[in-house]
Amino acid sequence: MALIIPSEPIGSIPRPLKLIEALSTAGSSHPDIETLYEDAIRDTIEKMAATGSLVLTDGEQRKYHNFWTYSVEGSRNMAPDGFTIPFAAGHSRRMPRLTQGPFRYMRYADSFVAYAKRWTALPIKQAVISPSALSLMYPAAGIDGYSRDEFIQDLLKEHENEIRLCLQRGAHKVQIDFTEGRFAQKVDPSGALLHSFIDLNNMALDEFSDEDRKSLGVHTCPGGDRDSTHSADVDYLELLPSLFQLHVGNFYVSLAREPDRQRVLKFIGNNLRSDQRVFVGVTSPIDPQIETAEEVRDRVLEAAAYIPADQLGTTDDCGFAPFCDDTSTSRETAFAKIRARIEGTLLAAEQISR
Amino acid sequence: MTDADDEEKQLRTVALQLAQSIRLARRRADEDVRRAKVALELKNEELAQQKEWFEVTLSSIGDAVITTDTAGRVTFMNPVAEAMTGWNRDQAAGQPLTTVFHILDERTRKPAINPVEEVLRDGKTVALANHTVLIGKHGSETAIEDSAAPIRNNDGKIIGVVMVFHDVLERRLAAKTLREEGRTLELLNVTGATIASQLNYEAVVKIVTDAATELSGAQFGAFFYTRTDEDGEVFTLNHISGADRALFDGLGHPRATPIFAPTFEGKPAVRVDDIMADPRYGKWAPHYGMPKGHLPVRSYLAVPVVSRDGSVIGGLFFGHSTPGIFTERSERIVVGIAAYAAIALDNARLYEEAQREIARRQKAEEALRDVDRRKDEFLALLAHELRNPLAPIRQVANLWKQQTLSEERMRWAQNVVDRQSGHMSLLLDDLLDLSRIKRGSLQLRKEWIKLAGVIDAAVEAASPLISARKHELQVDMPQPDLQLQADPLRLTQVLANLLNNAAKYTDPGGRIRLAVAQQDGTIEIKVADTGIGIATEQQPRVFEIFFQSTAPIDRVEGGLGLGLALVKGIVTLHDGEVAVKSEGLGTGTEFIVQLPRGTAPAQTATGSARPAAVSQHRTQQRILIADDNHDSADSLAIYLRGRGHEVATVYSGEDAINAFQSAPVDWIIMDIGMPKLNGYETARRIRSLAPGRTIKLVAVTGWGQDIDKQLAANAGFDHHFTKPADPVELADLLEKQAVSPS
Repeated sequence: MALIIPSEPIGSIPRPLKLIEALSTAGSSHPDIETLYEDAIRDTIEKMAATGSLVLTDGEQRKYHNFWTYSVEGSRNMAPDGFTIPFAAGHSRRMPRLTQGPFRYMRYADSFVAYAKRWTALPIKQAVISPSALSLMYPAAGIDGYSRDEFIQDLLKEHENEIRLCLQRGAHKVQIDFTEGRFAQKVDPSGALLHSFIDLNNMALDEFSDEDRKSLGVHTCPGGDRDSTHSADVDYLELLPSLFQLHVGNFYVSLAREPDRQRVLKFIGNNLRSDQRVFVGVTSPIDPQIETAEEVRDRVLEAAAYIPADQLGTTDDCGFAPFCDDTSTSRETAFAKIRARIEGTLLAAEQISR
Repeated sequence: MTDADDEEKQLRTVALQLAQSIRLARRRADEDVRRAKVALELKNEELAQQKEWFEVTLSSIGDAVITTDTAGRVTFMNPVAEAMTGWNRDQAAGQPLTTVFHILDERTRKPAINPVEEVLRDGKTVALANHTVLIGKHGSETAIEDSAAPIRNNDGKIIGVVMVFHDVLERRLAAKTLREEGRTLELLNVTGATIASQLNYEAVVKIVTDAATELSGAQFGAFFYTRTDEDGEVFTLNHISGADRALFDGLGHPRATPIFAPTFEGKPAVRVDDIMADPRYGKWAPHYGMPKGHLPVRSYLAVPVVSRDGSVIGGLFFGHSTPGIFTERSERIVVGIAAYAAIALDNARLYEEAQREIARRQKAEEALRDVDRRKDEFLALLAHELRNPLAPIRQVANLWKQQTLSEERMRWAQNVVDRQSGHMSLLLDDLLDLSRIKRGSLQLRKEWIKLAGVIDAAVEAASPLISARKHELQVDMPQPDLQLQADPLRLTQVLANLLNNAAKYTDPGGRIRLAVAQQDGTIEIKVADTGIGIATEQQPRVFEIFFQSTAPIDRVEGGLGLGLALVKGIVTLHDGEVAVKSEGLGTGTEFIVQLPRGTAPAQTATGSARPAAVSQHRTQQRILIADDNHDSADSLAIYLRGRGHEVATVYSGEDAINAFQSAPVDWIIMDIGMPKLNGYETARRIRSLAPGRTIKLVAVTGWGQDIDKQLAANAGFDHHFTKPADPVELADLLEKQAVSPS
């Protein structure tokens, strides 16, 4: 029996330019926005399916404005003057700030699942933002009448609710974007913040059953935006021990652009539990160069040297456009890279099976 | 410090604050988890205790319990269930229920419905149908009743099934016993009511035997009893229940062996668990046990049926081929039924006797009515027969009054009177003879005579009629000197009657045969004719008085129909028998007279037996008749003189005394009611006048009560006759008790 190495996208695909233009001019209130969203989602799903991918996403076409804040976008108790996340390329992204309690999501990602399933029968994977990422919205000065502790409790409830809704909608996988892990280590090298983030996320994950956790995963990367990262300079090995403490069955780790992949792979191979699967990044969205299938194959084979094949999967290092206005990578490039991942993974599987 | 540095610093502050809050939340969460864990452990402990308690409870209860999961696999069974199914709990765990709990419908032997499936399907408690049998692992069978119910969790979801079942054998046995008791009571009530209302003896016997057989649990039962029929004949009977009667036919009535005797003697019931092991069994000939062909008996029960007067009506006997069937209870029931039966049979017997008595009385009344009717007919016939001769006599009398008759005419008239009066005389003689026979006063004068003489006399007497009807008479007498001891006059009368009868009832020109035969000490005389015969149904009555065959309406000769009755009476007085044979009307008739010859020596026999000899044997007596009624005294005197006696008449008591004193007298026949000196006084005086003389006094009076007879005896009379005295009877008395021989 031929070996099957699962391969899944992280999530985001660059939006069509028309959509980007519409959003840039009128945001979500653009009169054609629904049509543009529909066209974008259908096109994304069709093209992603055409790559041979057996697990699809909607390309996060409707996540506005980005993977981090989509759930609170438009909330009245948010101010745009939150923290700024600096990227290596020199640009930065500013977080919204919670101005008063209670903290509530404006939308849950399960609506994206339902929408995407209209266009395909293939499994749909849905990415959601981690509670640790959203926790940074609470201001340092605090909020009168709404303590940080209360905020944390509300945050956990909303996060758990979003995951359950997605699972109930039939999401093949629910992937928690945990890009702030490496960032936390960067902010607090003592590791306290990272550990607290792990705890926070686990508090939410502990509400799920073991069976549910087989459908849950965590994605980590140094943050990719406009072909740049926010924390690639933090040593991966400072993050990974804590990362694998998260109570999920799947880990989507960026690896393609790691300078010493074997060091990371060795660590992963030594620390992966038998009930965990790791999807290693074999393509790099921020690299304009499209990987060949053979390159991908080689990276898979490289990973398979450290990780049992039945616990190995492939993915992209990061979403191709976590922010909706990111035009640094074209949709064509993204799909080409996905195709390379799919084909390369198949090649590797065939080779391992021989 | 740049803005970026400030922001990073602030971010770090926030991050640290967050970390603190998260750690706090984490601790809280951990604490919650710890508490939850403690609570869970407590809950688990509680559940474990509950489970243990539950299992102990289920293990302690008397019913069998099996639980299953929702797949119908056994999860638990208590010791009772282990014992009943033959499975132990560990073996059964995980097995499909149908493997462990194998049930059948005991009537059809087909698998019963799996209760778990039913409960899981309907979500309701179900009770298994009756007649369910649990087949144990090793083939044992247990009658059970059970129910199955869903086990639900707190959310109401079915998580398993619990079945409770128990052995119902005892309950079924109790129910069966109850049903049997009910049936027993019902049958006893019905039996009691039925036999109480039943008056038919045989029906009571049947009801009693059948009911007792069923109630005792016997395979077969019999009622042996004796009965006496209306003729007084005793016979034995039996009624069989539960077996073919033919099996008992030929086996006879149980004999009074030590086993049977107590029952027929009315002693207490005999109940034996195994009769073949009983020391009383098998010791008596001829069978030494049960006769060949007898139904096999091991259990034996016998109860007498005793009448209220203490007599044993019969015995109820029950058998079963298996030992130990009859219990004290069955004995009590049968004894009770026997008591019922005795009363009912007594009632039935009394009823039957009453019915027979009624029938007998009805028959007697009918017979009396018949006699009365025939007497009326006879009287009419007698009147007719007497008028017939009177008519010509009256005519002759009229001739004598009205005309001067010539000598020839006078002789004719005298012959007419003579013939007709002779005929009347014969009729009256027959009547008187028959009367004597009926009253037992006809005295035979038996002597050794030659039968040939009697036959000659009879033929002579019958000859006129035989000749007149032109019959051919044949007399067969192989031994002309045959003698017998008989009254020649009466025997002649018998044979003459039979010959006259033959002549009378045979059409002219017929044949009459008289034949004599002798065998041992009996002489047989047959008189046969070719006449009209006698219908078969009339033959038994031909010898009855007043009987005359109704067939010959145009018979040539009349008569009173007394002839055959006289024949019968006279033959019987001779210790003989007479019978009639006829093949029916038109076939002729044969009368057979059988007479004993007697034992006296033959040489003493007289040669003649003619009726004329009668007077020669009478003893002449000297008789004085005293009666103030001259006609009465004179007519009696004429009659007695006709009998050869010396008779004088007086018409008062005084004259009677005078006559007694003036001439020797043997008998004085005296009226009581004479004027002046009545009969009593006259008698006393006569007795006083001649206390030593042998003289007989006969009172003839209209007073016939006992006191009158006593008064007569006190006055010295030897005999008492009530008027009108029969002169023949009176004469017979005088001759029988003749005072002095002539």
